[in-house]
Amino acid sequence: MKHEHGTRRRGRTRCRTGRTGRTVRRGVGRVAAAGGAVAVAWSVCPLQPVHAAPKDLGGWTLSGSASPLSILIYDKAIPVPADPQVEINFTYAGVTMQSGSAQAVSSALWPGTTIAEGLPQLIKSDKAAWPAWARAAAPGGPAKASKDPGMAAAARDRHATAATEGGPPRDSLGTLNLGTTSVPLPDLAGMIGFRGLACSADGTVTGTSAGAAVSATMPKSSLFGGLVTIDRVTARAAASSDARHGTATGSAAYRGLKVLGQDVTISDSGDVRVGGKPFLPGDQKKTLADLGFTFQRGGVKRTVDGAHATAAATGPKIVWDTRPLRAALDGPLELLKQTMSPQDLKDLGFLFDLAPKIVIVLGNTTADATAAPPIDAGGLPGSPPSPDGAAPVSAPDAQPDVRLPQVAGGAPATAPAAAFGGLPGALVAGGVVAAFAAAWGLRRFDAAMFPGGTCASGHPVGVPDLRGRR
Amino acid sequence: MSAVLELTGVRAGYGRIEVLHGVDLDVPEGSLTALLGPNGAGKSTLLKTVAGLVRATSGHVHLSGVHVNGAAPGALARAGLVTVPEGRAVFPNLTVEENLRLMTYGGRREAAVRETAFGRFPRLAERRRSLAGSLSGGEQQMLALTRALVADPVVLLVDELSMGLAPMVVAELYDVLAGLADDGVTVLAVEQFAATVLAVADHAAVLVHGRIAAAGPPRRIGADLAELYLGGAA
Ligand SMILES: Nc1ncnc2c1ncn2[C@@H]1O[C@H](COP(=O)(O)OP(=O)(O)OP(=O)(O)O)[C@@H](O)[C@H]1O
Ligand SMILES: [Mg+2]
Repeated sequence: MKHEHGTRRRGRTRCRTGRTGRTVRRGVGRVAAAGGAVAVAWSVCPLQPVHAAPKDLGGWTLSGSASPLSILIYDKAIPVPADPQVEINFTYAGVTMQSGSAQAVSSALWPGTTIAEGLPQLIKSDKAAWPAWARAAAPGGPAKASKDPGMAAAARDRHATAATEGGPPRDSLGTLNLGTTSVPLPDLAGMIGFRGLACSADGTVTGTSAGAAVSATMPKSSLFGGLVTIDRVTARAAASSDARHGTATGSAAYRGLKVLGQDVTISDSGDVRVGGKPFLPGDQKKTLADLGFTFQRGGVKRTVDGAHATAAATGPKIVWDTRPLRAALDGPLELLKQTMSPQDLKDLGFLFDLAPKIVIVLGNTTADATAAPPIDAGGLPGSPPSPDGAAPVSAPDAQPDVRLPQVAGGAPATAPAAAFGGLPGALVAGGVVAAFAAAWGLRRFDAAMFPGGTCASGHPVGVPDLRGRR
Repeated sequence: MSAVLELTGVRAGYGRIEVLHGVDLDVPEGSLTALLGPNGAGKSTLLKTVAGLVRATSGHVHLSGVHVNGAAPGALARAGLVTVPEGRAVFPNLTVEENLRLMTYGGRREAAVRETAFGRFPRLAERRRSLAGSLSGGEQQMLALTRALVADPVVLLVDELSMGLAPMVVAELYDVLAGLADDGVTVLAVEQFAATVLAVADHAAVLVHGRIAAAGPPRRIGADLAELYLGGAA
């Protein structure tokens, strides 16, 4: 397991232009075509130069989260009071630190803080537990935690790291224990055809600054049965504060994006283009639209407000409105129906009316940091951490619309369970399972829909010429 | 050694009943691979899924690096994926020779068909004027195998070759399959009773309750078999 935070935390020194102030270098920084692959990268320089800082910080709050592949599901029919209603992160790393405490979470499959951490309170059962995560915390411990496959977390007073590698395993991740009942998490092999997902999150507090740095990498992957293939996605975000000034940096890049087999770029406005020209004449464009797919380019968002800095960097986003293809979810939901008791079926009837909007984020990173000067160094400017210790988080957009929330992946510092008066476990399970069903639904058009394409593991679809190879 | 047939997370079944619950299996090129497993484990279903007769609900069936989920059985057969189904598919009211003549249907020359049949199975030559229904089980199985062989298989799927046969005959049939594998044909042979096939197989895998419970060298699998079957039943 690699912990790369040492280099990443100093990422700002790599900014070659040396520009400071309000200029944001955004958009297409570099377009290089090589061997048919198109590389697009964004990068953003720090807004503020580094200033002298006091000897030790008076307090801090920071958080960071990263996932190479997030699936956000918006459907008001899912009774989980969050927005998105459900998220599933395929490989996740997150850290949160407040003066005197630290937590690091590594998960091969992360349903969002609300469900994973809030589960016991959410359904009022101490036995409830999300199975697929390793969590380290200080104080209170454990200082280190790890779990197969590829989950590791460590937390000390002033340093927290989480690193997750490999992506969801082939076999079931285990059982979602809801106290009274338990729900086996489905086998993911059939849903998601990639390997080698990786992400890390690091939080470090020194005498003079507090910072979070995160990164996520997705290797060559194929989505929707080859509708979309991509060679690589990387996203990084870092936020730090020296108690006077915040610094936010981020970068997101992807390479070799293909839609329906063609090398494409995504414009600011979400147009998919081939070599600068609009993508897809007639049929294929219509195919995409008929399937309910739209694209967003992603990029870097950051805000610095005094000592408080926030950075969010994401790679391309694929928005799939399932309404045109609602029937595709019938199969998985039908299977689900068979496994449920009559009571559950009653509680979970809503599942069968789902037509979610699904946002797939390739490379999803956020970092947030703020720090306060030492008490006895009075008079220094800078905003102290908010009194409840929670990082300020922008209110999520209430509309389940194409617009993505500013801080996707959740803000781990918010108290998740407190928001709920307690929900039946089945409802929570239902939301999670619905997400799986949706993710599974994604995989159901492969061969039938795109007979000339590739399957989720990148193999061509069709009938091989067995005799020809002899 | 590359896997000419590769199953990853394959789920399949009949209507609402799922029989295969995520099967992972590699069948190396030019090998004789034995697929063992107790009654009802899903062995036949697995073969049907590979042959395109049952469609996988999820997972991947890769044949020579090509994703064949959803490919038509006929197209796969023409490409060289040939199945010898459970039970003997011979026409009992026709003689051996007449059965062979029917095998020329795909455009094969009758002489070539006879050469395949009588060359591999001299006993069929002796019984060529007998009704297929009057042949012994072993001889019927030879006739069924001949049908598969004249189709010039590249990948051969065989379901319970031994069913109802005496051990001696079974050994003889498996020698033929081992010879085919030596010639480069990839053979996946399903068996419930293991000893004979394990003696000639290059690889073995055990399917229990719709999942691969073990895979490896035949000797090791043979040693663990009782435990695997019982473990699966528990
Ligand atoms: N056409 C069918 N419709 C419904 N269920 C079926 C069908 N064929 C098989 N099954 C069921 O699927 C399960 C697996 O059957 P399968 O024939 O694949 O097992 P097998 O391992 O080949 O068993 P055997 O050793 O008895 O041949 C069994 O429970 C069987 O009842
Ligand atoms: Mg059978």
